[in-house]
Amino acid sequence: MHADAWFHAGNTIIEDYDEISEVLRSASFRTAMDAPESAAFHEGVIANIDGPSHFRRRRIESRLFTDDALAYLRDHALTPIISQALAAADRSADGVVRTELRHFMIAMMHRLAAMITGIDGVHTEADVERFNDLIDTIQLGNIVEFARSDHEELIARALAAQEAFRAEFFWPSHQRRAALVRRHQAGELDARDLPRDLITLLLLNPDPDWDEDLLLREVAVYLDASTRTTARTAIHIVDHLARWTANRQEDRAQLHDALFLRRAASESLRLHPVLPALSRRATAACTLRSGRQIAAGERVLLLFSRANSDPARFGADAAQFDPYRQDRLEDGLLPWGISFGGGVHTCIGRRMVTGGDWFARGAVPADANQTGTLVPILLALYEAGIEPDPDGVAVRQDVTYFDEYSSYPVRFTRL
Amino acid sequence: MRVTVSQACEGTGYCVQLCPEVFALTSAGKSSVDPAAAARASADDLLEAERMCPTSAIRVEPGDH
Repeated sequence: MHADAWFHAGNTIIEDYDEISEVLRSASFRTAMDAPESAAFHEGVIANIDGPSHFRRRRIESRLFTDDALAYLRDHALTPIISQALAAADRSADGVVRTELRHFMIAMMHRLAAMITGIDGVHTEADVERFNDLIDTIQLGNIVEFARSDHEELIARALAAQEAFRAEFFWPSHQRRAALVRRHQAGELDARDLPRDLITLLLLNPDPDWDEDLLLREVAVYLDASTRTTARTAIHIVDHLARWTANRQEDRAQLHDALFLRRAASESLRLHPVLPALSRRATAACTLRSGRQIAAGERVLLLFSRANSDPARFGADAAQFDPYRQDRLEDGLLPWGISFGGGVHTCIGRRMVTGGDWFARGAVPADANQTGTLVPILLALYEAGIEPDPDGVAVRQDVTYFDEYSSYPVRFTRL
Repeated sequence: MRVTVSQACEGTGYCVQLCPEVFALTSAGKSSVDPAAAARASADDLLEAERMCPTSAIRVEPGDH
């Protein structure tokens, strides 16, 4: 079936904010990203399981996103990775440092994601490039349900990349951690000396229901998800803020303010949801509060963009970017809308992107350890004087339904 | 232990699954705390509820309500 046809065919489309929120929180629906063709990439991964097995998996993996874990990542991984990435950016013949922001962001985030998941050997520029190529290709399988082009060709490429990733990166990393876990279980190694990453956590908490490739799939999904949300959103923020500050001189100084950047981040996330859609299948006939009736077994496709731009919720200018919108929202309404999903399947890594409880009205970034990945990266980029390159051309991608750029040239005026 | 739930709560319900005697979802879909039950509950269970909350809405601190 052609991708466009799949995307809508056989699905009940839901775009209303309240209806989507209700479905995401309802016990009458289960996850339904279940196209057989993509099973090799996300069968049994955390986003696609329900009930007790999902709860057990969240219980294990939420340890990756505690305040302590995020603070450690920021101070010992993210900060040096940002500095190294900026230092390595090339200077053009005219003396200006320029880069293509998508590649820059993804390479940087892949290094961080490798540490979170427990993948070794992503250090040199050559390592990072090879790793980027493999993960970029595997993610075509992860997101094939959102692909506009021929699914078979994408799946074949992704499967080949998955095998190469297994041999070159996953298996050596897995074996090293398995040996450490065995030493720990034999009483030879203290728990504090074990790596704090996804592979180690899963090896310490095995489940008899997992098949032998579950860890590989879970790691690959994490590598993709923990990279792309931050990378994609950072580009949208730079783009929006360039336009916003063009006629608002007073806000140019705000580009160095964490609170302002947090506002810009939430507004960008609202306008450019993390996923184009989520699908759910009704486990029983039910009637939503709106009166919409859903039959047992019916598959619903939840489209986030229109819901997140609902004027009744976000104001008459909801389709526009306004970093100060948060001050006008009704209590309880998330500034990014439903971009991270909701209910038990709320994105497990959201805090890694956004930081902690900062979005409540009047909140200030008092806890510097909870700023997630986006704000520290943006602060560093604006400190380096990032701005869209007037000599470059930004290009939107059309391979998938994701709302993102395939290329976004920038320059750094203070490097 | 003193347990609070902030307005960041989105009603994901993990705390209710972990400690049903302490947490409950209100009709508005937010988590609420029974302070007396929290005082009796295991600190490890409460700290896991704090850690597992994807919205950082739960805070567990030494002391009483």
